[in-house]
Amino acid sequence: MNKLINLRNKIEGFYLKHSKIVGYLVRLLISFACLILVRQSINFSPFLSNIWTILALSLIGGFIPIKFLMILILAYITAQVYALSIALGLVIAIILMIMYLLFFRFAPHYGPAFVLMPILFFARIPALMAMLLAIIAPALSVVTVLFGTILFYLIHFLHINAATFATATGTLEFTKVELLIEGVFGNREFLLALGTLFAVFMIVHFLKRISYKYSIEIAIAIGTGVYIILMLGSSLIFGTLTVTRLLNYWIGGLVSGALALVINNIWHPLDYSRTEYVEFEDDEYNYYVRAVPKATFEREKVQVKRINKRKTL
Amino acid sequence: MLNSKKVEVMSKVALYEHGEGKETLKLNKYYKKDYASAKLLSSLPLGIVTGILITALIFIVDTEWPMQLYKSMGGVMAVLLYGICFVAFVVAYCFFSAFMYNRKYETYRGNLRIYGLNLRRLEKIYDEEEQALNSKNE
Repeated sequence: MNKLINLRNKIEGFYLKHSKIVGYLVRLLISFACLILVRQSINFSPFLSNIWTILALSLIGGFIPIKFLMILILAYITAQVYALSIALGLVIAIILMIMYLLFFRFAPHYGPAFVLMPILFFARIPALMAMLLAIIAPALSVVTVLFGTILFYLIHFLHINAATFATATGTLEFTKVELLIEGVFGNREFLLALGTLFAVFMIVHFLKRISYKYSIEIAIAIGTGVYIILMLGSSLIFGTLTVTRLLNYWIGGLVSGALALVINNIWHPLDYSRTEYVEFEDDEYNYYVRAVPKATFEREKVQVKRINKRKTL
Repeated sequence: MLNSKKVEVMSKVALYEHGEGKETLKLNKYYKKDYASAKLLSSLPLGIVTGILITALIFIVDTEWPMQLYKSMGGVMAVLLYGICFVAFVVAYCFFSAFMYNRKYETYRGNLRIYGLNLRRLEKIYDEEEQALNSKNE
């Protein structure tokens, strides 16, 4: 625990010292990872899929504010799909614009979490984002998880049906749109993932508010269990369970839970052993307060060696 | 000699003004209600655009469904129903945006209070310094 907090303090100190460079590098890495991942799935335009184009866009992503990073990545996705089919590009643009106008216009700070969702899906740990947002953000941030899931399944469906979309031309343009919409929004796996992540978010969000010791840790553990049970149970019911899926859900769920615990302990290190309960009242209310102190850590002992003694006048 | 307390407060004030303050100091001109109302009005065109985009998406995805509705209900009724749904959506969108900006105002207001407190502390330090200077001159 001490090591984790020390690590967090070191990272914090390093960030404070080099905040501009670190901020730039983080934005650059996020944009590069997202763009490379999109290219792996939907590389329909040779120009946009070129590594130099991606590097140039990542460099731009590093310089622009994090609020606009999301717009850059979404524009890249739209341009890639547009290269495949004009109608599909138009539909993707409309869907992404609706998402932006409905939520991210009001809460642009959730943009990075939204574009990171597909990366977590590819890493088989989407529950991590649901649990983290449930702990650190308000209930409304569940929209980020839901929209992120839609974004991943749009990219995923375009990836697995790329050949079908590429061959159909002319009047079949609108058939492609129907295929995409039915393929994504009628997909049982998508609906299950959407419902499961929503349930995980809500369970973790409400359990962490209960006045228990280790409420956040318990919430994460239950969230992990719910994720694994719902994903495995639904796969069993629909007869789609394979060994790969079984491992994906188990390992993905456990890794998500473990990472959420580690990140939470770095972010909010609490020492429940020193919890204090205070009760007081004013004219209108009685207050029952539970104060959990932040975990402290042993500071490194530093020996100060004086080379020049201070001169006294 | 440097007054370390003054430097500390001035640094806090300057940091706020150059960071979050760039946006939040604009809020200081408004009362909460006026701010939310202004944002509600500015959300109206975007609400209309969102409504049009959703309509376009419905038409692109499934052209048959709106046409069936048109045939089964009759032209006037179908248009009226669409109009009511559209207006209801735009109104809901505007109120949702007012709610979101209200929350934003509340969040920033807390930090603005701390900023104001620091300004008052700074003023007090200046007064103390001025008094000390005057008493020295006398």
